Amino acid sequence: MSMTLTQGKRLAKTRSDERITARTFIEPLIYLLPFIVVVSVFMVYPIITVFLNSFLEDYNYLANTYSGFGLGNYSALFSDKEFVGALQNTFIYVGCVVPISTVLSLAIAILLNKKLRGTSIFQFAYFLPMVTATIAVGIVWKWMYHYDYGLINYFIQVLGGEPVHWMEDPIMAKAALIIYGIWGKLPFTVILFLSGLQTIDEQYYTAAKVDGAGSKKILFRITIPLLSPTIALVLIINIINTSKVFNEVFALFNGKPGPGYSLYTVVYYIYENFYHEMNVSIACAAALVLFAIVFLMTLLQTAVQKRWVSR
Amino acid sequence: MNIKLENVKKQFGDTVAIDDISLEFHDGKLTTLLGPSGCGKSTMLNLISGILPVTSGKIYFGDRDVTSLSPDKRNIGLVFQNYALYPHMKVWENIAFPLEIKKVPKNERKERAYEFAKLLRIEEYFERKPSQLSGGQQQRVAIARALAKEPEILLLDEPLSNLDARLRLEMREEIRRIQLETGITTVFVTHDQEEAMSISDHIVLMKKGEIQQHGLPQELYDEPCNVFVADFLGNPPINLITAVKSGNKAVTEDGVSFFSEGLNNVSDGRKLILGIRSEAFEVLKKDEPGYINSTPAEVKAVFMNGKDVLYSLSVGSMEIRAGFSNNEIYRQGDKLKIALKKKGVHVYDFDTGEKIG
Repeated sequence: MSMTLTQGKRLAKTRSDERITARTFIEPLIYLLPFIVVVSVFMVYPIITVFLNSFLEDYNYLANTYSGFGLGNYSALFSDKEFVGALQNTFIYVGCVVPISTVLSLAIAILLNKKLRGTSIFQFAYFLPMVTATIAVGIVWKWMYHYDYGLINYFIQVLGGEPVHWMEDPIMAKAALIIYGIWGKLPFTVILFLSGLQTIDEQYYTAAKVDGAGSKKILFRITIPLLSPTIALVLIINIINTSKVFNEVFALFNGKPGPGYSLYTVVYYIYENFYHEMNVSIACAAALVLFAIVFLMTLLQTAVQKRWVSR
Repeated sequence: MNIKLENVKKQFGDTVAIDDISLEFHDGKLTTLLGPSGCGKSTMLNLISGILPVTSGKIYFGDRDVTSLSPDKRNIGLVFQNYALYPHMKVWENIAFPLEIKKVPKNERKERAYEFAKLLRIEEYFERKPSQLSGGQQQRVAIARALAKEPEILLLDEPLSNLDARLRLEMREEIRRIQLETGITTVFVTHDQEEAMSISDHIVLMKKGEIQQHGLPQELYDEPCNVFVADFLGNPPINLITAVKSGNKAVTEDGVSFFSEGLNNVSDGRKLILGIRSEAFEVLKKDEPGYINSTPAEVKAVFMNGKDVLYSLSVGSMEIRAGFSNNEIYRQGDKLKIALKKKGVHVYDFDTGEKIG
């Protein structure tokens, strides 16, 4: 990694000997123009707009009027109980889904990597969530969670338990959402872990086995340390993705944020303020707050990662 | 610890990798498994280590039947071609990893790792990561790790082939030094005959899953039992000349004849292969005995390598590599009369390649 980086730098240095003239600058620019235009229109412009909108005071979206710039939207946000609640819900969701799905995916990936008989069936099963639409599968899960006819309650009853109000009880609804979220995160995470596992040379395992290492020792002293770059990557990606939880809620609860707004998440808050209430600048401010939080978490994560990722 | 193989056979599907081999590796000696790639030498090592199970046959370490034991129960140290050092562990942690598995306390582990680091002369890199070491140093760490659990048998799978030429020389001397110092029974796999010749007590030369010949390095060099062995060992490579026995000489297709005592037991008219080491030629002068029977040759090229001179001679339509022990130096274009010495000339059957004289 560091090798290629330094090589890249050296290359860049030799290239810079060429003098930049109107021709060497404009010609490449023309080639790049389609890309620059698309990126500017669909990415750069919206980002700047969101940023600016979040600071507009008394902004009227339809009339496009505002009284000035300020932090009013942000103070309004944090005094809004709904937003604070949405933040809380999002944190709980991220805090449950990311660790559980990471550990679970790692276990599945290690099993799949063993090339045992029947892995292709498992592969099919675990990658299923990836090829299905969140909304469509949400409807299926809604049925599985159904109090009277759901499969899950059926099994609970078969095992002698009491049926659960998955979709109606605010606390159980959270659990239902988290389970669904974990399920949805599995395939991509498993794929990342599998590709990470396949970069680990088989000889490390052979060497450890010849020395008599048990499977626990191999897992914690060899597999996980050697996989740490992938684990770090998976954590970052999953934190970012789960922070934006919205589709799952929308699909599971008929376009409502859970029973009695109990599953109101930040993105849901943004969505409602933007589309239903026309509080565009509040929505923009909320989006930026979410961005800042995710950004901070990723920074923290990379800082921690530097200390223990060893490859 | 003696290693004994009894009728060992290994098959991968229909492919026979090791074909019914019985062999003994002597206690405290360094035995080399030598052969071209695909000859089964690494497979044999993996059978000894237990990484691969045998298809049939038995393996004994001393009196202990280890045929069905897993590698960790055989008490062996294994060194891999690409070292297989754990990149996330420091040098000492790598060396001490087998001890960590055995749950040796950390302080003791570190002490013992240090002893082996000293034996391998890498103690100054003790706290480094493998990626900060050169290939030779990494190989030393790998050997230290293999020795750290004090195995009865040390197995090395092409340990030098990832090193450059100079390091390879240095490391093979190191391996020999450590083997002699520890007196550990060692099996060494290589495809490099020079490497094998220089460090082994015993060489097992293999081809296509079968042993061609085994014995002391010098025995294999002096008395190769077939064309393959003769051709595989020795640098420069042996001259192989197809000829037909006629009278007391061997005559090639284009009429060049060689006289050799080794031909005496061969029946007239038999097609054969003459194997002649480069040092088995001598230059004869006019008044020397045997001059009449000598073979004319012309010097095509001269290769000086410091300690001796190798010539490329054209004899008939053939090119022959020869070196002479007289102190004269010949030049390109010189015309010589050459004859064969007694030693270093072998006669093989043309069809079977087996030695006949």
